[in-house]
Amino acid sequence: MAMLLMMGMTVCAVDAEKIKKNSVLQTNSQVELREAPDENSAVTATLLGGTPVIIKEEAADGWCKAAYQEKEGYVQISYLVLLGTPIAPDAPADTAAEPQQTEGEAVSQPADTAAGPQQTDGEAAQQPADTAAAESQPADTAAEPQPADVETAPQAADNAVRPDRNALDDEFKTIEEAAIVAYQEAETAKDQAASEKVWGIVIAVLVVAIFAVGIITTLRNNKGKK
Amino acid sequence: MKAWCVRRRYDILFVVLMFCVASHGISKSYGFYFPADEFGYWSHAARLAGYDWSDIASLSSYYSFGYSLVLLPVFLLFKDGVIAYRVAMFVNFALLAACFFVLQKMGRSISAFHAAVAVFYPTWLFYAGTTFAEALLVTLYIVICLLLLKYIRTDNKLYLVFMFATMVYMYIVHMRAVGVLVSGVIVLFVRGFKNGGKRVRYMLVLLMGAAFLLAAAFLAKKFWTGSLYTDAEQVLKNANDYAGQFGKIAYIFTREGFENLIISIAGKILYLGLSSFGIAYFGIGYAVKALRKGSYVSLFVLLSTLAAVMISAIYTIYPGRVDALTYGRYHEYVMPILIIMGIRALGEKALTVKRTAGIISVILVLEAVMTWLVTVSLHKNGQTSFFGNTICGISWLYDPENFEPAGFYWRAYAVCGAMTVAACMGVRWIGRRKGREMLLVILVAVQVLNSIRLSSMYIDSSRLGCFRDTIVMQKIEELNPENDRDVYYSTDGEPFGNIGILQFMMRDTPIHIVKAYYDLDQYGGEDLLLIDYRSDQAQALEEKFDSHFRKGHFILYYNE
Repeated sequence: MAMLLMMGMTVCAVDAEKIKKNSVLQTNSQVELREAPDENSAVTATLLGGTPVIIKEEAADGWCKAAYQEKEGYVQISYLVLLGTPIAPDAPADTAAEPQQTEGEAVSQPADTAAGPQQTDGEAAQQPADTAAAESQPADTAAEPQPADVETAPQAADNAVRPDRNALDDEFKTIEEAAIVAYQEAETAKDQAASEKVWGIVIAVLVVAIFAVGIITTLRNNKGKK
Repeated sequence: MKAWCVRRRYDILFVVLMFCVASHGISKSYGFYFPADEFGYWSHAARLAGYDWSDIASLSSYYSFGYSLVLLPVFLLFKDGVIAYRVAMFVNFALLAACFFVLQKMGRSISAFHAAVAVFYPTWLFYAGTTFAEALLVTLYIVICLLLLKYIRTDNKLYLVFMFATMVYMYIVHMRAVGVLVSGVIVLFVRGFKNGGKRVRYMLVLLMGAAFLLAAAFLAKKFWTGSLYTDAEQVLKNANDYAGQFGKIAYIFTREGFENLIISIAGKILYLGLSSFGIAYFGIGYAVKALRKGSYVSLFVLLSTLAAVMISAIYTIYPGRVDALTYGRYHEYVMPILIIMGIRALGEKALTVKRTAGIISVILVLEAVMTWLVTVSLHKNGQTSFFGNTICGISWLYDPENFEPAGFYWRAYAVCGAMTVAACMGVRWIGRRKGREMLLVILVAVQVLNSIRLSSMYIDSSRLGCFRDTIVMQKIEELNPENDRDVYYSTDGEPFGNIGILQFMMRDTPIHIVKAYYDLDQYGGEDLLLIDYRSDQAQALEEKFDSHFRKGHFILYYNE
């Protein structure tokens, strides 16, 4: 990998099949987000290499819809790699390698499981659709100073949307919070299931005990009569 | 002590069993299963404790305040909403345990096993797991029957006074119990006149006392509607009130209305049979037979059953839902007494095997006819929506994957019909000899299993929503530690009842209502704004507020 980086080659793109909705990937070089999955369509944002993006729609025809903070648009999947993959600072956009199988899976956002609809109005509470706890970012987040490793990027990159560290910290904090809540929920469910199981066993034992006491009493009475 | 324990061994075991059933689902309870109804009951208790939840209360229909008197001490003693809810659940189960003993007081021939079959009826166990008034209603009905029995046996007027007071209280717990009040008055007057009118004067004095209590109840109701339901729309307030039923009475006098009434009555009677595996029909037969011998308690049971069936039939006369055709919730509070009478009837020596088999055959034919009538209505009106919690006696057979309304009722008929044959023949066989009584525990076990299935089908999924709402509550408390920020809830034009869950959990923070979405522009700054998770306003509000928190039934908007 170090050799590849030294040679200035683009890091291998992620396999199209592994690009799932709501997964977080990153760009492998400077790339434009476009309004439509077409190289000639309008640019909605320009992202530097190494920018994390959230996948909004699964890949189709070599493109997928992605979002970075409040910006959304279509990006060619050849520009996407797994989060955390080292990126060459000045990798040219048009030298992307063929997609190939990579180790590990993309980091996916925590998501709660959706529950079915329920009754309301004098009947039952409506089950909420799952709502992953995600706080929105302020729309007009100021750009942070450029990281040292992208200072040598071409002039065009200066105008690009740069990773905002504070915003990213907030994003990851939110994701972490959601993960903690999901974990708590899972733990609580686990405890509840265990508690239910214990009480279920106790109920079964009690029913058997009542039955047994009844039989013993009857046998004793019969013996007494004899 | 040891001798007492040995003597009361079954009582102890059944009470422990009741405690275990209560504990089975308690760890999952975080709040309301029926947000509107349960909040309605708690809001009266909160009002008495000095809290003002009128904004939220006005979003739903009027609910009677009798049950709130039971909830009030729980509300005052336990500040934490989740704990208060769980304690209230235990109070419900304690009421059922009390029923178990009260039933045994009604006659020496009623054993712990008989009482257990009546009390472990799945519907009571299901509703006791919520803060619904059903457990209290059934307790009061059993107590009224006992008081009437005691009065007739001893002629002690104190029992009569208590009976009248209990009937009035039952009425203010739920207005559907008006039939019990009327039946009680009729029975006592019939008895008074039959005994040469000696007691009529006393009855009149009591009736005046009852009328006074009822007038006080009406005044109290006026107070509640004036202080809790201040902003409620009239149509909404009337939904659970008499005013909302007048149209239904008028509808009966149309041809379609009359047809629907017949089907509705058939459905309610069908439910009594299917949910009790036919035992309730034997109970009705027993009451009719006892009435011929001059039993006033039987007259009371028959009249109150008839009244309950009629009220339930009229309340659900409009063809709306699949479950409304049999809607057991409004008339099954008579079930424990009918089951006890049914078990006694099946234990009578006059009931030979042939005769029992003949009666069961007639029951099965009648049930088939009633099921057919119900399915005719289903085909005619095309009902599809199904709320299984109103027919707990049969909705444990509900299969959401393969639900077909008419098919559901035929399936219920087939399964409960088979159970009718097994249960009635079994109870008859058990009743022949005293030593077989413990076999009734099999019936109790089936009922407990059904109740657990009901809870997992209908309550558990809503509990997850409530658990998530507690996280929203924690977020609000985190953002509003001094309780100095205003909390608003936008109904977005549609009054979702779920907000009651949050108000119940955050009793010290009054939640204000924003009824029109265009009013939302006024809110911002320090305000905390909640909307329902289904609201269309989410997009617009995301731009207006710095942050939002989405969990459970809500989205919370706030500025840092």
